[in-house]
Amino acid sequence: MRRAFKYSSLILLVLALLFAYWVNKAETKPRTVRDFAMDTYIEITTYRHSDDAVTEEMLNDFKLLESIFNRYDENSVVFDVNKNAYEKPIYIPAIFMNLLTESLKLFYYTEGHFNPAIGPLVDIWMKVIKGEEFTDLPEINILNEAMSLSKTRNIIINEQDRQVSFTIPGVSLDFGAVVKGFAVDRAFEILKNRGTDRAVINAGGTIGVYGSPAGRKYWRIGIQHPRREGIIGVLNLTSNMVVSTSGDYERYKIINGKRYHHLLNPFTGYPSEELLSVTIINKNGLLSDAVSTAVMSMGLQKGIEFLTQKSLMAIIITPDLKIHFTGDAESLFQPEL
Amino acid sequence: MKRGDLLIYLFTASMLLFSFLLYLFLYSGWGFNQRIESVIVEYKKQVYAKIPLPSEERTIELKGTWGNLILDLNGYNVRINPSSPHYCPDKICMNQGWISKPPGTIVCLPNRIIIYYQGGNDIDGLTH
Repeated sequence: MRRAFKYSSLILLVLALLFAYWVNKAETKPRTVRDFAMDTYIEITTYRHSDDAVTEEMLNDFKLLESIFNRYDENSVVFDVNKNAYEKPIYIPAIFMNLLTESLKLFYYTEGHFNPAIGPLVDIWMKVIKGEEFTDLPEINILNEAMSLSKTRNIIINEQDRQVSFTIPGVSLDFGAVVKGFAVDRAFEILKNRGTDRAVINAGGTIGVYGSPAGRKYWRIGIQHPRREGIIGVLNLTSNMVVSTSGDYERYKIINGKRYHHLLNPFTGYPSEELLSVTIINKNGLLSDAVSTAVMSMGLQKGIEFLTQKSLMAIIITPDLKIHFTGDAESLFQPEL
Repeated sequence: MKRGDLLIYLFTASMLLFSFLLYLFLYSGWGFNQRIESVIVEYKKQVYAKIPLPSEERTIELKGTWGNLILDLNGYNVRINPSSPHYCPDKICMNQGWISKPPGTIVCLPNRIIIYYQGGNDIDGLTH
């Protein structure tokens, strides 16, 4: 007993040193790299100097995805497919086959509300939304024609020879709704392979939190207020989650007092009307992205039914600025006062 | 107990306390810098301009390959002036209006320019 007492000061000292080491070992300041890829704004935050190479690897992967999936870039694979796949089957890279088949699965999963073949309809509405003078709404017969082109049954996939072709001319694939979530999933894979502890990936508003934050319990992810600057609330997330939001406020134009935005209902041919924004929280970024787009098109009742049936976490904001939750999303949400 | 022992005890105890306080200071307060320090204009991953905030009401002209970007400043409010000459083909950034606090960010895709606040942030990311 006396002996233990004699050494207790030494033991205490060792403990103190260990504690000091543990405190010091905690990270350096967060480092955020900002860049552009996939036709959007990218932010990658890491917490160690040694993570710089990982950040570079993720950015390069985003740029690779852009070179494949940007349908407005004449040199991209998807541009080549959209232009030529009716004339002859086009041989596609494995990564393209991967996203195409996954997208078709999500098309069935969302009962057609997320639609990777929606290109023709998007082209019509982007002209309306982006055009400076042109304020006429598209005519109904033009929309009907675009809707009949925007069907997944017009796509033929030959998995064995890794080829894709279209049954009729004018079909156009558009991965814009899912490529960011797909990119975050791939970034998580890179972080895992490199043994990185933690990182935050922001791919144009689709946010991935990897690992757990240093020195606190939750990552804090703000949800954009759909009608003014700032956030409507904060999500408290633990580890490895992807948050994706679709909103009517990103790209839109007001015509005759009515808001026309870029999120389309593939069944009516018009921008969806019932919801201001949908946020999905899921381990899988591709699913988050596809479902947030799909629920915008489904509307409130159908959307909540679907999300509840699939046990998915979602935060839906309606025009009265009411916030609706499904899954366990309410327990993660902290409103901004 | 000898006097030297007491000193060692005191020393260790104060070290423990100090490191614990340091830990609390660094990590319990979210680990965020609470005060807005400046607004940063970034071009191609390089800081092009860094303006301390709050600022008096004034405008700054930033000339570059993009033409002439006019930045309006007032307190913590920042915007791209909607009449910036020959600035942007998209004009999304020019029509965005004022941002007043983080995570407010102005992004100009065609010109690869990002305008964001340094400091004053209490979230890890913004989903939109």
